[in-house]
Amino acid sequence: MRELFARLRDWIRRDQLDRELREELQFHQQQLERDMSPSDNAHAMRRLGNITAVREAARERWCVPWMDSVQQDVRYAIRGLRRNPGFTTVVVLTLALGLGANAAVFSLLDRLFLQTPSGVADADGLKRVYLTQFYRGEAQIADRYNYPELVDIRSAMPEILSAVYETDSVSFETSSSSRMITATFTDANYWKTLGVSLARGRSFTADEARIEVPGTVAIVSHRFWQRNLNSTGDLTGVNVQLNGKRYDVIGVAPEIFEGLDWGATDIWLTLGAMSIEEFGPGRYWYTIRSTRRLQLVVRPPASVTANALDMRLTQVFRVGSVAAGYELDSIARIETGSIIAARGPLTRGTEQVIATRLAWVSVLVLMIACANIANLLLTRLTERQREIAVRLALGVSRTRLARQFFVELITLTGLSLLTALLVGNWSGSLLRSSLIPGVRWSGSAIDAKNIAGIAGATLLITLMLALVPMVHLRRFGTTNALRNGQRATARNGTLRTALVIGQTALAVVLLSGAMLCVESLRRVMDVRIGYDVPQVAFAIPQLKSERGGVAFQRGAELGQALRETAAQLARAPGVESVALSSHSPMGGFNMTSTRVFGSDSEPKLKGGGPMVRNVSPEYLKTVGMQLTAGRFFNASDVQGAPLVTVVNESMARIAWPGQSAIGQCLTFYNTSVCRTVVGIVQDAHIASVVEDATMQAYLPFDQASKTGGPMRPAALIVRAAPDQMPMALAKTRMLLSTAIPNSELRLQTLEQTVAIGSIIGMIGTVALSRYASSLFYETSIGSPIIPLGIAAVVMCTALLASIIPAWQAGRVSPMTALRSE
Amino acid sequence: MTKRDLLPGLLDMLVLKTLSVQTMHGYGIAQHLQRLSKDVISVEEGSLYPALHRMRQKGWIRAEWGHTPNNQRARYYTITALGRKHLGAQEEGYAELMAGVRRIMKPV
Repeated sequence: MRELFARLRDWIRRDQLDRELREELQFHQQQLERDMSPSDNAHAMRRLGNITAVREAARERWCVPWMDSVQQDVRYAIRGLRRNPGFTTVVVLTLALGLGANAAVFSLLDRLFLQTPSGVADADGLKRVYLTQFYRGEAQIADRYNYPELVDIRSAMPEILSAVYETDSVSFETSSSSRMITATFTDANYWKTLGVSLARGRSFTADEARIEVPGTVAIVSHRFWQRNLNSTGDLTGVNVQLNGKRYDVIGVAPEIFEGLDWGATDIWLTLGAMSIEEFGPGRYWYTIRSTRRLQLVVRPPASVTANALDMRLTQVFRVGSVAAGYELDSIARIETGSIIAARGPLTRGTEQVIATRLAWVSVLVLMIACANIANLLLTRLTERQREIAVRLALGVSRTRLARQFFVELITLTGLSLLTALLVGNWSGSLLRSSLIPGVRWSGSAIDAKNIAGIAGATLLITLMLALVPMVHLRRFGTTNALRNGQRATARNGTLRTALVIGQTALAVVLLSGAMLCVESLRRVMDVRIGYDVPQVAFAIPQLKSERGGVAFQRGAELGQALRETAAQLARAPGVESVALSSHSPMGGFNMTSTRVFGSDSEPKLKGGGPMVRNVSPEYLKTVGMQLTAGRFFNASDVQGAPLVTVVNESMARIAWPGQSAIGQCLTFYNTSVCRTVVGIVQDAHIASVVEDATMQAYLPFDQASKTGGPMRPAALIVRAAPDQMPMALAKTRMLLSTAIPNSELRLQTLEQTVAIGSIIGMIGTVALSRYASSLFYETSIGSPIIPLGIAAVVMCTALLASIIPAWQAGRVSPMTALRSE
Repeated sequence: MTKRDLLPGLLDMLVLKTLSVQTMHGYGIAQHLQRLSKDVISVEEGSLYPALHRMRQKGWIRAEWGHTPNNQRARYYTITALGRKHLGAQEEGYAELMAGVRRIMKPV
């Protein structure tokens, strides 16, 4: 072993050893001459000739023959590659592109599917809980629960650690600005169940975190702590203002923990801090079972198997549902799944779709690159026929030649690998920030796992590509080659044609996907939200009752206060107009039974509806909707006056096809009272940037209730020029907090709402697959522009590719061509 | 004189023995061997230097450049602890071998 290392070391130093030996031998000779008598000089002269032999013999001690020949091969390969810089560059870049794309995408997939949430102790022991129910024969899987269900589960299994949480965005307000941050609302067990110890401070006590207690305390993330709060001092007196309310900061999370889900959490609050509503005396959101908002994770002890746990949970769930008087679907079941959400049974989220689609794309790209390179290699080999023939004739064995080609190939792929790692790092960061911005990433795009993966792929590709010269050499006819020089053999031609066809086919697949992408992206860009987004903001105040919930019964007061505030606000400088509404412009709607007067069927549209909103007459002007026919509400549409309504274009088209909707009748609330359609407005979005067309109807506040009487407004909408917006917002906040003391205020501009929505909308459409037309926004594979586009691209490419050789061929004089034969 | 080939193990042993007494350069080793054996054993450079290098790779001897009394540059070899150990083993083996040969060749 020691000798092996010594030999290796000596091989590296062999030039130096050679020199030293020469010097040593010279000394030896000098000594001999000095000691020798003249008669022996002849002897000495003869021995001089031995030096070379001696050196050769000695040199054997530090020669490693196969390493020498490998080094020779590498030198030869590098020389050859430098002589053909064009070929080298193309091959290296092509392969680097393919490998780099894969490296980048692999890191995405790794993050989504393989990485457990960081900072959590023993992540494999932590499980998410999924509920499967069957509704009209279809399985529906949910991962969210209502609070009473959770109470049932926990009281039936008190020995199992569990945590309950929900994530939402809240408005973080400083003296100068406000922005939306991500908040996770948790119970007291959250930190213990996850096994995360805080870096500073303490977590919620059981008392603080009781659900009936309104939130007063908060734990911030390390990032938030550093960016927005005093990051070095201690926690006394540190507080934040969220949604108009102050919270004391009692702890800071460790740097590596940013929540359990993909988007990072900035701040943790108690469950009691969620915006809560009271639905009647003693009925709060956490006592009713109709909405499911909370997520559950459990950490079962090692002694409980997954199956046993699932069965117990299912049992508890069923018992609880029956006790609550709900119709139990007998095939409902609960199963626990990995903490990595991507691995759970829920239908794939947007991020997963994108990542998997991208993976397919990059694999295709790599395959195209490989086919390309194989083709190029074949071409090169054909050009080198004469060289190969000469070397074979000189006595180089075919094995040696094959090894030589292999070394050349490895050099090429090695260079590509290095380039790919560089490219992959850059493109990985690009991919992350542009396509999946909702996820918080840590670490660089290329890490050890990634490098190992890509290196493995490179090796595989090298071995595959090495078949090309091997096969070529096998069939090599030396005499033919020497005689014919560079003429390509027929067999080579078939393989090359096959490679070209294969590449083109793969490229067409990619191209069609890309075109679909571009089309749908274009349509998303073209989407008109229906409002003047930069100029609109809305405020939604929520009253708190004495017990901390929002008082629904005091709605009349709230409505009055809003109306008065609206009147005041309309006179403020910078404010163009103010309106009242039951919802914020993209914040939802009411659903109530709406019928075309005199008909039994309800109009149906894929997006659903009709969605009903109650608005004040200034609504149209304030949000910037367009009126296409008739009129909007005005001051004469009051209680007692003829009942009116305004519908959107989609509804007008569906409910009264071929006729004008103006003057038609609609009934609401299952009554038979006719409300006349007096106006038609353009379609506007009611929930998100990317949504299907919906039917919408508007009612004036004064006539909006079931009996035709007034309803109360819930939101105040402000229109101001973009540069006046901050002032308008400040004025709004001031007026509202004075008019409605003891309320929580949610104040947001439409731009903020749309920004978040757009990204998500675009993400959903930037996906690539031939089988995913449902994912494309109003585009189908059948649109004719796509095959035409692809044909055009392929022809242009072919044209470009043939220009240079054709031009060169044209420049050759016939005599030269004939003579070279 | 007829040239006989020295077993390679034998040459190693002789060199190590020489160096166990004193540090020497290659020429000195050759002279020493020749003199002490009364010209029976005459080592040529072609055998000596490769053997020296082999022993260096095995870690039995160490080489350093130094100066002769005449202030000429020469490479001096020293035996190492590992070399001494090997020398001891070789000596024992060789003694055994010679005893065995002698027993066979005893005049009848």
